[in-house]
Amino acid sequence: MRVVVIGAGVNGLVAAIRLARAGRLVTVVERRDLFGGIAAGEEFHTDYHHIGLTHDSAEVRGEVIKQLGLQGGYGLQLRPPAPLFIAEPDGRGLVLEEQGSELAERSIEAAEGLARWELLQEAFRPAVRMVLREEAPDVRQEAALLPLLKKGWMVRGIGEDHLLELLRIGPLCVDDWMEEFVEDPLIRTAVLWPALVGAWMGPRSPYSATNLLMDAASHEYEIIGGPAALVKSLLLAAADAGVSLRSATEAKAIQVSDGRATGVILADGEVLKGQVLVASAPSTLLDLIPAWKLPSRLVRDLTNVRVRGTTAKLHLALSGELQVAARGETFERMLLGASHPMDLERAFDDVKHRRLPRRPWLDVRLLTGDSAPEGHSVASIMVHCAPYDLDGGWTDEARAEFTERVMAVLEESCPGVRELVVHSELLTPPDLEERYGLPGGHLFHGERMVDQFYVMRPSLHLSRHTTDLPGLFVGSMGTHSGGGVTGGPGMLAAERMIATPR
Amino acid sequence: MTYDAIIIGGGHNGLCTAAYLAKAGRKVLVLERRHLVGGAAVSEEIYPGFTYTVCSYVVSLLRPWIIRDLNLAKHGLHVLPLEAAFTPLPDGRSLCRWPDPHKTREEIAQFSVKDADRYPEFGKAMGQLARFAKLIIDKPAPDPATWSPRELMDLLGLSRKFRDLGDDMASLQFKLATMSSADFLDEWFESDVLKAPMSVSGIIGTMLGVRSPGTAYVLLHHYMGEIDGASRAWGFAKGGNGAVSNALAGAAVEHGAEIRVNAGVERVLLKGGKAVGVVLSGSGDEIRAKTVISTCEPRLTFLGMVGEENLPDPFVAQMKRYKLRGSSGKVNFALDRFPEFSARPGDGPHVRGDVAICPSIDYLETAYDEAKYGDFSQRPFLNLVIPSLLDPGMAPPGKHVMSAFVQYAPYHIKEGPSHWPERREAFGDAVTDTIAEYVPGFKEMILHRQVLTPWDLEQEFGLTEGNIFHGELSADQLLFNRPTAGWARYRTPVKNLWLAGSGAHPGGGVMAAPGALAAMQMLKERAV
Repeated sequence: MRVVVIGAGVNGLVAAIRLARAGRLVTVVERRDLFGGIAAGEEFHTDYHHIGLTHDSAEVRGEVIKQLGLQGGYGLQLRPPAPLFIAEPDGRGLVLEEQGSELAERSIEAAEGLARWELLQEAFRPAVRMVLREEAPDVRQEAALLPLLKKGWMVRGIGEDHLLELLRIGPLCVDDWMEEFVEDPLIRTAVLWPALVGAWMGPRSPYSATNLLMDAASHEYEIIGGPAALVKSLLLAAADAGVSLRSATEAKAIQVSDGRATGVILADGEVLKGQVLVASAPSTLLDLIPAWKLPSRLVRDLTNVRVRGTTAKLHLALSGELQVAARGETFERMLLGASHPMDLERAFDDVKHRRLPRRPWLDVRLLTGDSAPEGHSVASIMVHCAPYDLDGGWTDEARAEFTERVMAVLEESCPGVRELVVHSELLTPPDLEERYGLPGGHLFHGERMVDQFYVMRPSLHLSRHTTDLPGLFVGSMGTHSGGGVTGGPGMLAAERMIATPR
Repeated sequence: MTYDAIIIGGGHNGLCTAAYLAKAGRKVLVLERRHLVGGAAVSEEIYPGFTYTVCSYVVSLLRPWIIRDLNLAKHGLHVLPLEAAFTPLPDGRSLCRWPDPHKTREEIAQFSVKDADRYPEFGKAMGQLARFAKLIIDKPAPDPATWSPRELMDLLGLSRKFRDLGDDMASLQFKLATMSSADFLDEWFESDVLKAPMSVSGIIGTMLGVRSPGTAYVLLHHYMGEIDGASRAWGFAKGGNGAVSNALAGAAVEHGAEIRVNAGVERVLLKGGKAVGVVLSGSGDEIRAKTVISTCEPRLTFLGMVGEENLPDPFVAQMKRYKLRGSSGKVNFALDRFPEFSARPGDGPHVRGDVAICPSIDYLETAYDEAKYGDFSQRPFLNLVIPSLLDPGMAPPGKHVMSAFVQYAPYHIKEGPSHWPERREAFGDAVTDTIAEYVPGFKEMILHRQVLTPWDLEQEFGLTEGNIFHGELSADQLLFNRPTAGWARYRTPVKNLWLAGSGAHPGGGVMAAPGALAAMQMLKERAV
């Protein structure tokens, strides 16, 4: 039984390994000349490497790592997340770490508030994890009412009070929710910003609390070496499982005959026969199959997936390390440019109005070791917020102005950074679309928002990884339980393919 | 002498509760702080010869079964249909949506033929979903944490009905419940000129923008409106919204209820943890009753009239975080002549409905951004109605009254809410200036202007933080969470104290449903 996987991102690789181990003959085709999708590490300047477009690896599902045995023979190593430094104007900022004492030094009340918040996460965690681990229920089938009900009961297992609380929190804006625990705006910012990554939202947007709930429940460990190390490990496992990997190979179309998907037609005309798993963005289906061959509701659903990119990426090759002046120290993780939730909101306002951020906020990873020559370093910077559809377009002037604004924020905390820059690479949302095949330049193939989540990701008809065409499956981070670098959707899609009668 | 029930607040909900309880033979007393009943549904002659429908100004969701039960027509309620939705643009173009689908089609086609084609399809889908939504607003809130077999059956029935919508509709319903109104409309339409006036129903009275998730849901209200049982979006009560209150008061009095005005309540009288009556402000007189029903806003009721010390701590915490955050104001004008819109002159049918000043989604969102950072919008969203065109009795011949609902006017301005009086005229000017961009010579025709800031709405009408709905209609404060988890069935932690205002399920708006449903629940439970 042959399977062709389109896209060698984390999900494509996870699915390929799982399927190959189940006895399928798997070929993965990748448009780019390297594997890993947004998780791939790249040499962006001679001898300077980054560790992936999104440099976070704390969302990789534990069960995927375990099931594929990545920690054993394939070299994957985990560690607790690195401490986060968050800057504040005219202040020392704050270092947030698991067992840190700085929080309590800053404010006992805030430390207690945050402890109460974390306790609540503990209570929600089993329910949230269950949702992320399992296949989405099939709400169309009468028979599925039972599993749905069962799920309901299990969620009830978290207790009536917590159930009601979960239902109350879900629709809140993340700033209101955090304010129930912590007054200090700097600490609120430090905790809530992840809810906004990959979301077309500011901290004042309702339902952003749901995103934070998801984040808080899934983060535990990060991978040493980041997403790039995960890709390395997956490639070893794929080779072991006998997966055939083809880079610089573009899928041109999906072959459909008698209403079934029967293979993939490559750009050079070669046909690879087999079942098809689309592990690229779900909407790429529309490029691979003529719309008239697809049910109209599928076309409509895929067209309606919201993918408005809000993030740009800046890679800096530095001839030294970024030192935070207020501390005289370097930090591996930094949040710069936002010390109050309203700073994040203003940056989102700019995206809304399609303009350059007046003051971008930066999620910075400082990479040393293998990433750069001795004594040098790489700053991997996710820049929020950058509109995909910038008024006037991303001209050279706009790019230069944007980079300038990022450098200005960096300079505030790390004076002298400009002198260290050996090379810089800016990827705007349109660049991300082009390089990584991310529609709308959106990091996750679909904005994180409750109506694009779980049974609705990417739509009610596709969330179980099957499509209306037999033999055709979807399994990218744009499907349940994505997005981000998680491997969850790939695993669920593979399981679904294995369980589906041919 | 004791009453069966004292109702705090003579707004439309209080009067409705009174009417239902009196009709069931209970001895009821309504206490109203102001000199007239109606609360935020009042008509007043603020300027000689001109009657303003001071706060609320249209009738949309007033439940038809309440109109029938209480025979409100007999008590003077006469609803005139508002049959056009007019949106003038600053560039001289305009869009008008009519009850006649063919006329509407032509109007929309000026801007987008594709949208004109989809508009009826959208209406059909919304109509279907509205029928489902009505199952919810005409009943007490479902309780997801329930263990009672009967209620579980109800829940199951509700989820069946949901599933029976079909998966396309179910999916649409879910999107509608969570998406922003702008995003939701983006899935259907391309023209901003159409989307902007459609999207605003989602933001009225809330501190959210049309791009804020969760605002799409209120789009349904437009398709839920009923007047005398006929599905219709909006109506205008002859005589203004005071007529709604007067009709409800008439029904209440007919059934034997007693109504006292100029009778503000200082606090709820408690004995052994139970409500036994009220203490009037000023006089300090005590009036006893077997039950007390507050139709005031929940936080005011509990933290103001009951007192923290008499309530369980978690409940106090819930009330403290209850979101009010008023975001709108109201400006009423007495006009020397008819205000003519340059985009479409004349006093034809296009101005005999509501006029929306909201030329684009970006315009609305910019207005919201200003409010978010603590200022009123320089160019606000306005919903204008000219009642004197429909009911000539509201102004002297040839003259007119105009009601302007204004958003955004955040209660929490950066100077602090108590500084609103200093900014009142500037706020009024922003509204006047905005209208003048569409109505040439507008400033010269103003005989009188009444400006109500959120601060005024609080001070004068008891709308805490100026919130016109007694609490944000956000998903975390609706259904089983209204006003707060565990207390959505009109009961409160204080025995014999009940809640029946807009802060109770199904919430704000001139629906009268909370008042009626609370009365029915009390009667059913033999609590009164």
